[in-house]
Amino acid sequence: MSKTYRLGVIGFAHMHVNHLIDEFDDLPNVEWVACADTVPAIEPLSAKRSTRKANVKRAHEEIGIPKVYDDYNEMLDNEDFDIIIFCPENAKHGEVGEAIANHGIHMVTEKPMAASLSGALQMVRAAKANDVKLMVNWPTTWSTSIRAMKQLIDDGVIGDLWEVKWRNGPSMGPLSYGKGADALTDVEKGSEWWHHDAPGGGALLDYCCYGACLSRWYIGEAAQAAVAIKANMTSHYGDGDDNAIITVRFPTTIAILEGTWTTYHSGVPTGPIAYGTKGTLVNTQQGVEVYTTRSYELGNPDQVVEGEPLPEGRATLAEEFVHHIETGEPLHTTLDPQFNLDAMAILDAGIRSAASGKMETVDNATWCIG
Amino acid sequence: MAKYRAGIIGFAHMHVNDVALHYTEHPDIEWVACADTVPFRPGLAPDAPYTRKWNLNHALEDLGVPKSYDDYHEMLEAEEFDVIVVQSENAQHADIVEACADNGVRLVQVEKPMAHTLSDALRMVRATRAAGNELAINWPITWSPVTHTAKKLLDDGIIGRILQLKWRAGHTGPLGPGAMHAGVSEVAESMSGPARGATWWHQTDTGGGAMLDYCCYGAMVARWMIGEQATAAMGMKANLDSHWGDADDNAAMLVRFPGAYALFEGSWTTWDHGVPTGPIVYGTKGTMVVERKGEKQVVRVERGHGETEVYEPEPLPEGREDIARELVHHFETGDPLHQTLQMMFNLEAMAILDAGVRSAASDKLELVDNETWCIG
Repeated sequence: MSKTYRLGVIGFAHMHVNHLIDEFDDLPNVEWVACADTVPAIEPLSAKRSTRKANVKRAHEEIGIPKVYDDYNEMLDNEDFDIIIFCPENAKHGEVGEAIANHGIHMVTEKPMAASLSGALQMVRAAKANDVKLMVNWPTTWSTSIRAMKQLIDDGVIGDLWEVKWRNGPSMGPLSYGKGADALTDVEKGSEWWHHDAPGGGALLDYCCYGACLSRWYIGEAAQAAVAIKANMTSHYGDGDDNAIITVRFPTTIAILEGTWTTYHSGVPTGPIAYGTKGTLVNTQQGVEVYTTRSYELGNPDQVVEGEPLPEGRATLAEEFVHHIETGEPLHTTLDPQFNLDAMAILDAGIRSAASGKMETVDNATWCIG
Repeated sequence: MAKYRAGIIGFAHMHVNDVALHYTEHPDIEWVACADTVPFRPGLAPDAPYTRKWNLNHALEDLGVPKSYDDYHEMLEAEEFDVIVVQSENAQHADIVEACADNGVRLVQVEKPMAHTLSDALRMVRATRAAGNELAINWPITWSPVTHTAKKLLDDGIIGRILQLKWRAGHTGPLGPGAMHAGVSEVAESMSGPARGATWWHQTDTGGGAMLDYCCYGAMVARWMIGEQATAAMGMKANLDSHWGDADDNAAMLVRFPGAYALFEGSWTTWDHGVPTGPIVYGTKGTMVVERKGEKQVVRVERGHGETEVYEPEPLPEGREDIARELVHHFETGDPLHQTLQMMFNLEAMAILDAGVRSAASDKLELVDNETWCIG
């Protein structure tokens, strides 16, 4: 008989927490114990869809997590957990991850790993010290075309890779999806962490992170340096960026990562796109368009690769994490903490570059002090 | 009958005396001709030992090089060479390597450092690839058996993972008081400051200066011993006591590797280092001091609390004990040259040095580049 996992949640800042909860709720052998939000620096004005208040309410009332604590430290002291999902503000990933690890509990967080390399290293140190598992979930990892693209690159279908581009799909911001009574006003958006810099809000962390993860994965080695800009184009109700671009230097490859919260329609396919010495790959979400015929005109793809179904028993983030705990087999590369340190280091260099106005080195545990 | 026809281009670097002596002594090598490059500026003490004219005369009179040309281009067109030894100013390396590649020289052997910029080093690589010939960089330290013993012990993990490598080198200057150089017995006469300043060594545009001359060894040794490429460097150049020239007479570089760092010092104003200069390698399980000076050349490993291990050097493989024998061995067997002589390895060492040079100019940390990131 398989073990029943006692589950909890800390932090409801990131609305992806709802999906993480749903995926674990789909497992047959789980039991929800309790949850707690972190304490926001700014009191949210709204409980509309996707706000942290709405996310807590959903977990308690719809999923049926029986207890809701005000203080996650109190919850950790009072209850027993096997696994905790944590989705606080990005800037709190480090301290929350450390607290969970110190209680000997395995943990899953949502992209990006943290708001800084320092925060990410804090999580990894705590996980190692307490011998607990840590997984960083990426929605893109569960896309068959994203995985197919990696395979095509590794198979050399486009020769040697020299550029990876990422721009997120059309987005007017994380709190822009509600309609009618669920629509947030600007003032309400401005009271959520997303639109503030200090808690790790902003489009660079929220969207360039995908590009950091995918370029690191596709290119297959750590980046060296990055230059970036952050801008607040239309979201002046908060001090976070709503647009950002990072240009990343890998040893022999370049990556351009764009994050935007102000785009109605992308106009052109946003990828990820991979350019190689013998062709180009464009990921359309439905599949990977492979262009290997040289052409000055926009032609049709030579082939479209849809990708293999996800492996049985490892087809969801919840299955993957339990598989990892039970078998000790490595997580999918993109979910692994060490891999994620490399991806986080790219973002961290981008953030520092946007502040310094110059190229910044991509750090690692040796070179990230404090 | 000798099998390999050799020539020399450039007599700016006095290492020519030692390198050429090894060639002279090798039975399979015969000298064909030599030519100096045209100096950037006239000298003030043209006959002083170790200056270019003295070195050229030494080759002609003592080492058996039969003739010299005024123009190396003319020489390359008129003669056939298997090997050309390049001992010019650092800033001339690329021009000469290109000319040799264009004229069918089988292997071009350039004295350290590879060039004065990564950009020039890449010119040399492109020319070599295009011609399909070979390029090798000579390092005096490659012929020091104790450094090979150190490298082997490091690879065996004798001090665990390498955390830091330190290198210091120097003397009173290449033409400084009491200067002695391998291959000849003369001690330099005391040259005046302005006379030293008129030589390429003390000029920046020729590729002179202590950073290129001595930090280059650190770049090479650190890249070799740490075993992966550096990522960034900070450099500082100073002209402490050689104001009759515009080049640095002291330099330091701090180099960042992915999981280690390195410190290189080069000095032309040091009468005696006072302490062992290394390389000194700090690891997770001990400290290695490579004792290269004096009669007792050993690898010393310190474990703390007075625990010391001493490793005697192994001799270099027979027939590969100096640059001339190494090249002939390479020609005869097709075995690769020692790693530290190889073109692509040296491109990486040059990239480290180049980042240090750029940092000394920009006052900030500079990235270590490669072919992808060195534009122009």
